[in-house]
Amino acid sequence: MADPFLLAHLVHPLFFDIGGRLAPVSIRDQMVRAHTAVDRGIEEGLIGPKRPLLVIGAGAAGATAAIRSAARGVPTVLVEAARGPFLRQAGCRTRWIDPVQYDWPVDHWQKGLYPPWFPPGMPLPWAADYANHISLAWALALNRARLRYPHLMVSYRTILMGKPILLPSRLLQVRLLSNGRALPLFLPVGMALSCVGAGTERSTHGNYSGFDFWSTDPFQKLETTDSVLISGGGDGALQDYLRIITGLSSAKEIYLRLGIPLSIEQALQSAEDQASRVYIWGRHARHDHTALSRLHQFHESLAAHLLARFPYLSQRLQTLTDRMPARVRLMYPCKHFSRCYGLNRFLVLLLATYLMQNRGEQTLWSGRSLSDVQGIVHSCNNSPSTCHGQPHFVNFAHHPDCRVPPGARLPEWSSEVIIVRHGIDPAPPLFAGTHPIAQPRQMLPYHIG
Amino acid sequence: MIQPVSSARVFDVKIEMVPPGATPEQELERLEAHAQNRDSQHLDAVVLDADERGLENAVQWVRSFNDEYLRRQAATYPDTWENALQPQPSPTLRSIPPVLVVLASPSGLGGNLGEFEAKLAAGGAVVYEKPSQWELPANFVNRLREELAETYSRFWADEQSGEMEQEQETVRAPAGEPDLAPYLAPVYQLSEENFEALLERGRNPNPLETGD
Repeated sequence: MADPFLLAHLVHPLFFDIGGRLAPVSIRDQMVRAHTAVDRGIEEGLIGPKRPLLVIGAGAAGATAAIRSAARGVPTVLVEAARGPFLRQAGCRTRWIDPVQYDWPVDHWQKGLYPPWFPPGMPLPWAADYANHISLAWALALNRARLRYPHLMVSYRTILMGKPILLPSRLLQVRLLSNGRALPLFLPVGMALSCVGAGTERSTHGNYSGFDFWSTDPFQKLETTDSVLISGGGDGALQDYLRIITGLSSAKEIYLRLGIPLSIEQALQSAEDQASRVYIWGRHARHDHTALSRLHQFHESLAAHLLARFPYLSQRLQTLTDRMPARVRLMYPCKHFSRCYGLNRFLVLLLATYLMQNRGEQTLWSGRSLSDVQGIVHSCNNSPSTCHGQPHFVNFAHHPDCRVPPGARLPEWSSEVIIVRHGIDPAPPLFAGTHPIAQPRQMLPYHIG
Repeated sequence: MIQPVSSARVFDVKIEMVPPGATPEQELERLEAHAQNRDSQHLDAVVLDADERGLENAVQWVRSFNDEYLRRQAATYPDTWENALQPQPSPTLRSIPPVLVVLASPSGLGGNLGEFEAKLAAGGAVVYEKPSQWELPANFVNRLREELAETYSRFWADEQSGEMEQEQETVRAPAGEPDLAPYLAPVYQLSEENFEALLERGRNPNPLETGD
């Protein structure tokens, strides 16, 4: 097998991992990765009419892979540990999903369509909507595919059991545990594809439990008197900052209301591209420090220049921030945000620069992290709805540099709304030794043939 | 290529309410009878009104419904698996359950905003908000059907373009050179008009004000 895409995701003989352990991934990236994995598997002769495909995980990637595979005539088994597909998004009425939202500023982004030169037949509807609406639309598409392709088998509450065994026939023997009992069946498959999700978002700190990333939250309906603290420097924290400051769900909607000149987009794209070339070969966050610092500074200076040069931007930002809460702070442990989508980075820094210049509001706190959170008047009991809106004392730790441990404690603060976005606890590996030779730390191109 | 909604075929989505008072077992029996009727259209979704039962009961109902369905499905193993893995399997051995949607009003969520929704989702349901103007369940079903039909009209037009069937055949064809045709699509060939527009937008500090 010489296929570079498959080799990059190989974790065991005939077993490939395109799941959430990879970063960065967007919805678009997950779907394209899944689509490509299946097509490459067919081209390499790993799967075909007599060589079934096993897909583990019924999220956006898993369902895309399973439907694509079945549509191309491959017997396909899709298994999912939960009671149904797309359940992570199914209970969330407030978070917006747009597969191409973060393809900004590429041309197809504004149209909301996938690049028109991509082969047609992407298996899931390519729509933007609230998470629960998307969950339903995708679930319906998966069910329709099951009706259309009798060789597409879907089983919920089913997990992989043990380590797959490579048979002399070059098939992979896997065993599944379904609904609490082992299936009396060892499946021989031509290829297995893990599309297991990213893991659990860290939304708690000590005794304090904030709203989960994929839960319905009240962040866009806060009172103008509220005091809000967001802890974290990644996309989750940045998204929540944007939602709270503007009351809008979608970064794309915010951006389109501003009217940023195209030449600025091109400059930002160039800067993001230079940083992403560093990520590809680094392995850990500390290796990204220099690139992220420079990128952050570039966005900051560009935001300042834009506000000075184009007065209409300040007018529009004023309208967008009219109803924001009285105090909002986004704090992150370094001088820069973590690796995140360029659109989030740009919008947060533009809004923060505007608020600083025009209202004297310092909404960004760099170099600090949460130390202690203590409820006042009430006791925190691991329930977001109990703690939300209640006063809390917060202690901080100072971070002189994100590459070294935190230092001195900083003075405490108080806040009624605390949002914890501390990254993701990765899902445990499916079996020991599930590590690819080299994890590509980059988004996929829009079309790789 | 994805077609605009207006030119796409309308996609018919079938949605029904769970009858008031029905238990999970009764609803599964009703759905099985529906699926066995060859003349009936596939039922895409069923909607449970959580307000009618109370949220705690709705959570329990959803879990019981899905667990009972999964138990019945598991009872058919391994025959359905072996059948599905055949090159030309029989489509008659399986029934596809509709997606379960739970309709809850914000007032019903009360002080437990978000937590019941998480429980309902973990139980295997998609949760929708029931605004006051949708008090009648039939209104909600109609609205949901229209919303999904619009989403699907785009999707269905794409899928029906015939390309999918063509691609299915390529499974049996030997792997050849990568298809370069996609890279030659007109989108890469910038017309004079588009080029001028691009330049203009690059110079103009505010493209929205020109209506561009």
